[in-house]
This record gives sequence, C-alpha cells and structure tokens, in this order.
Amino acid sequence: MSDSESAPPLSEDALAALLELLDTPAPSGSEARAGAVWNRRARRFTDDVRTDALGASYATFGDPDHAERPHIALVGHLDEIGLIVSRIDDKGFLRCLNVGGWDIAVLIGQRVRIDGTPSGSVIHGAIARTAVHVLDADARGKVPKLDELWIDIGATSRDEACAMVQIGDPAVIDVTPKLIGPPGSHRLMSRSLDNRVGCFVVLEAARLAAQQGARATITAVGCVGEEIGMGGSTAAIFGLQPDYAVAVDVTSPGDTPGGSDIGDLHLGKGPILTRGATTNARVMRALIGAAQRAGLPHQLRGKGIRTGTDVDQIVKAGGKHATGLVSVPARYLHTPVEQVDLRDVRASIDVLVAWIQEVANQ
Amino acid sequence: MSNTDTGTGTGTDGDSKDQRKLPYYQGDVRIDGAQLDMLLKLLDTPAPSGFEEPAAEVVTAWAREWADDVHTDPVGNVIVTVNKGAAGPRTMLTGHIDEIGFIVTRIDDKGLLHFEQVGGWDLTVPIGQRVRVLTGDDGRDVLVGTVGKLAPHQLKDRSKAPTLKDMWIDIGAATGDEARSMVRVGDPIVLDTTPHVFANRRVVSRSADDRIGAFIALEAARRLAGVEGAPEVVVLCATAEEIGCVGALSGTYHVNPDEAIAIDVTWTSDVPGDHADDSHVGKGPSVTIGAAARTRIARELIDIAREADIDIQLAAAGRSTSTDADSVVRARAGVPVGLVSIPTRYLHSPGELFALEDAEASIDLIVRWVKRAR
Repeated sequence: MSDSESAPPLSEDALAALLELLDTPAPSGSEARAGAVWNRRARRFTDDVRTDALGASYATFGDPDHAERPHIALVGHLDEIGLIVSRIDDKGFLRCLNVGGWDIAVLIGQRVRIDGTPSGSVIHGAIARTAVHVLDADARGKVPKLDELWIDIGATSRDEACAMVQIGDPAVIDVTPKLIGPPGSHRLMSRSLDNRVGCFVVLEAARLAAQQGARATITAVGCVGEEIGMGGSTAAIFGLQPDYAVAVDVTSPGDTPGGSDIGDLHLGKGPILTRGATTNARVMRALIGAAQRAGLPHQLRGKGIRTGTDVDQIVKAGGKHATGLVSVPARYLHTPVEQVDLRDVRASIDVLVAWIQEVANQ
Repeated sequence: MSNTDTGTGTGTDGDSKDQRKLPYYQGDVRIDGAQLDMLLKLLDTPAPSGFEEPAAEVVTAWAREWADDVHTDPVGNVIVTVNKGAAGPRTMLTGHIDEIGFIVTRIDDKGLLHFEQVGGWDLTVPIGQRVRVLTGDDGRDVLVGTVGKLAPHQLKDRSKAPTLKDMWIDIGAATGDEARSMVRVGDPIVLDTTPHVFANRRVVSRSADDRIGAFIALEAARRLAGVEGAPEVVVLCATAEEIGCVGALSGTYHVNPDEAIAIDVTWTSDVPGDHADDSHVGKGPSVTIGAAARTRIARELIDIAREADIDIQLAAAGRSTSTDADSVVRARAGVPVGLVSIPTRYLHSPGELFALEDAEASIDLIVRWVKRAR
C-alpha cells in the first residue's frame, strides 16, 4: 500500500503541529499545556478561540450573524493517560497512582518525565521494580500491581526528593513521537495519540470546512477528563448546545496477532465509523454516505451498548444534539508506542469535511 | 409486599379477591379493535436501541391522527403533544420505543455474522432462535437468519454456558463475499418472533419491554386530548433506554415538564422460584415507591387507585429503578417522576408475557392522575 510518489498525507506544517501536540505532556487533570499548544494553532485560523473554566479549548468558525445555520461540534479530548505522584517515601522513591487505565506490564522499565513541579523544571526518572535476579519465583510470572512499582528520580533521601517534586505532580512516559516503517510509509508511533490525534483532526476538519465556505457554524473542541471518566465532553456540549456533536477518537483495529475478534478493521484502511450504541443512526448514515460519495476510505464497526469514547458521555449532555463518532485506527492503545497511519488521519479529516459540506448545504 | 397501610388490594387482600371478581380490572378502558391492532403493530416492529426509526414512524403516524404536535428530536425521540398551551403543569408521560437486540460486528470468510449484544441479554436465550437482520441504508430490508453454535455432539463440555464467542448468525450465505453483499457491519438484529394474543387477553411478544409502556403513554394522551381542564400532556417516546437510559435524559430536556410518569415493565413473582418481591401478571399495574419514583406522585397514584377501585400492586426500589425514571428525575434541574410498571414475565426474552387488563388499568389510572384535582 505504500506509495512514495504521491503527496504526503499531511503538509509539513500540519505534521509539525501534530508532533508538537503529541510531545506535550498533559495527563487528565493537567491538560493546560496541550490546550495552549492547540489554542496557538487554532488562532492562526480563527479569532474565536477560548478556554473554559474546566480547561477545555474551543475554536469556532462561522458567521455569528447566521444563527439559522447548523452548529456542528467536533470533539477530541486533550488529556492522555499518565501517572500522579501519591507518596514520597523515606528513601526518596516516588509511589504513584494511575491516571486513566494502564496495563501495568507496560510501565516497568519506562523512563518518565514529571512536569508541573514546584521549581517548574522537568524531572526525569524511571519506573522500577525489583531486579529479575532478586525477584522471587512466584512474582516473576505475574504482572505486578502499581503499588509494587516506584519511580526513581535519583534522589537519595525523602528531603532531596521533596525538593524536586510534590505530591500530585503528574507524570507521563518520556518518549518522543517517531515516524517508522519503510520509505514511503506513513506510520507514526507516539504516546498520547489517544487522543491528541483526535484534537488535531477536529481542528483541521473545522478550519478546512470553514475555508471551503461551509454554511455552518463549526466548533472544534479539545475537552478534558476523558481518560478518567470525568466526561468533560458533557460539560462542553451542554455549554455549546450544538445541533450535532461528533467525537473523534482512536480505536483498536483487529489486524495484530489475536486481534481479529474485534472486527475486520485495519490500520491504513481509513477512519472507523461506529454504528450502534450511543451514536445516532442518522448521523452515522450521513457520515458513511458522505465518505462513499467522496470516494474516501472508511471502515465500519458495530457496537451494541457503549463506544468507550466521549460519545457515551456526550449523549447524556442535556441538549438538542445528535451524536456521531469517527475513530482513527490506532494500535497498542494506552502504551507509549501507540501507532497510527497518517493516511487514516488525513482520511478522517476529509470524511468530516465532506460530511460537514453535505450537512451545511442541505 | 404488604398493602395493609395502603389498602390497595394486593397481597392477602388480593388473594381473597380471587374469589370475589375476575377479571381484576373492571373499568371502562378497553384495548381492542384499532387500539389493539396498533399495539400489536408496535410490538412487531423491530427497533433495537440506536435504530428506533421504524418504531418511531409507527408512533408518529398514529399520533398525527389525534395530537396537536408530533415531532422527532435530533436524538430520535418522538415527542407528542396534546392540549398544547393548556393551563396547569406540563405533564410528561414516557415509555421507551427501543428494545434489546444484537448488532453485527464482523462478517467472516465463511459468510457467518459475528455479533455483540444491544442491551442486556441472558445469552442462553438466543440459542436456536431465528433472527431478523435489518439491512439496507434505513434498516428496512429484512433478512432471516438463525443463531448458530456447535451441535451438542461437537461440544467438549456441555455444562458451560455459551458466550458471544461461541455463537454466530447464519444467513444462509455460502461465502464471506456473499454475506458481505447482503449485510453491513453495524446492521442491527432482533429475534424473529411475532406477538400472540391468548384467549384470556394475555399477550406474549418480544419488545413488550417497553413498547407496552410507550403504547400506554400514547393511549392515555389520546384519551386526554381535548378534555376540559386537562393540562398540556407531552408523551416522550424515548430511545436508547436499554443501553443506559440515555434517550430520556435528552428527551426530558427538550420537553421540559413540570412532572412526569414513566411507564415500563417489571418482572413478576408468579413463576417458579423463591422471590424477594410480590408481583403478578393480571393483578394490576405496579406502582413503585422509592428511588427515582417520587413519594408524592406514588402516593397520589395509590390514592386515586383506591378511590376508583382500580387494583394496583406496589413495588419498592431502594436505589435505582433501572427504568427511564432514573433519567427523568435528573434531567434539567430535576423532574418529579412516578413509575408505573406492567408486570411482565420472561423479561428480555422473546416470550415477554403480560395481561392487556393491566395495561388498561394503567391507562385508566394515569388518565385519572393527570385529571386529578390539584
């Protein structure tokens, strides 16, 4: 499928913006830095950019004099999973709690960075456990609990550690995004793709649809608190009272070993459009139809009860909106090596723009 | 459940009544003729959560004959208004039009459909059932299929209850490509059964949960239309109850009622087994006290039932009611809500069984409650 001759899926400028968003640490509850990066880019395209009291970011496109036009909200979430310092022990080791859902096996041996410390500087450390040589035989075969792990920041005493960090400082795994694969491939590996990529897509789709003259008010939203079930999206959508609220998130494809039960879903074959559960049948029909008419790649997923995304929260936000969900296929979710294909990112933007044009010109 | 301090005619009182009169409901409301046809049509229409449009259309067409306003909100809820603008509290009656079902998640190379549940199933129920797969852009093309699993001869351990991984749907397709030309991932599915009315006016059907509730709400509103002194009555035919009571939350936001009654079904104790509560098919609607069901409205319903000699049964709820009442009570700044339930055997199966007279008594009770002196 690689095609080195064709244009890259994202412009250099857009790719740089995505990479900057991905590289910015912002676990749930500490979204401000990612919000600031997102707002800075949004201001290049619209004057109507704001952050609310919860920390959610909004960029609105469209003419406020046209109240009769549909208001479309596209919603990503700024937060990512991470850790939070919960205790500093006598030897200067940090104990932590998970922010969002981790597979604990992933954490062992990872480098971390702790931001938001009293000094303002970034503290580097590593997540450690007892060396395998010393570990008793029973423990070797088991995934440890988080309270059996610690973060070592090189401090030799509690006092030293307390001078570097404080209880409640957030941590993320210390990795930078990287393009991988053979020449001409478009695979991107990073932490925080869940769901910085969604935040990127909603802003690109909103600005491009507006640029193409869509007769709609479009608000791109980077909401907060998705990974901890706080449902910042509920508050955001209640505040906006849009006609449509479409979430953009990531979802696991079934194209890795043992994954086929999920469905016939692949990296590189386009955004995944979820029918059922908390998505609105008419909105999904329109999104699928728009993708078909525009000749854009897309894949279907069926869900019965929950989607596991902000849509499950948005549907409960009091208001008149109908919901939709566009998911970028992403492997290895909730690890530091989440992987997307940039062509899927492009196609997600294009499907949204095509749908917005159809809704706006009805 | 004791009724001694309410005097509403269940429990021991109800037992003596067995000799006194049958049927239990002796009021004027009768579901027959066009009304019964409408109920049966509604029960037969497939509309699992998220795919309620077919049921919404049936409801809309009927309500247009007698309501002041009928519209569908963006979520898919159908909102029906009678006595629009009348004085008094805006009163909402709500039942949900979605039902449990399944949804296609994957079409394999053998042409078999793999699926996920929509709403809460006992997974021993679908085994051996025929299904309707709702295909096409608007779900109107119906394919018949059957739920497949390994034959008992092929099972290594027959004592294990099957999971979704052990079942699939066979639509008779010979290959994956053939199946993929017939069905799309995300197509919804219901069991392929039709309602049956027994000679004693009990009904067995899939989707009684909660088409019967929606029907009762609509029929009560129809009877209240144009009645002098009746307030504005809005029926919310709610979507997506079976996946977490989400449709009623936004629907109630739209309707913005002053008070409400939710109508749903409840399980019964008149079947084998030890039961913690007391609920019988045919002995009258069940009025819930506690949890989301506001005591004030429950008391009003109980008093009205006693005055009108309508037999009811009482149910107690400590935390949630597992009905749309839970959503109505927390919509907007909170809406006082009562809960009336139709005792129904075999919930969440294609054999849901209820008595028409319980539905008739519910309509009578709710109409009297809406018209009550304030």
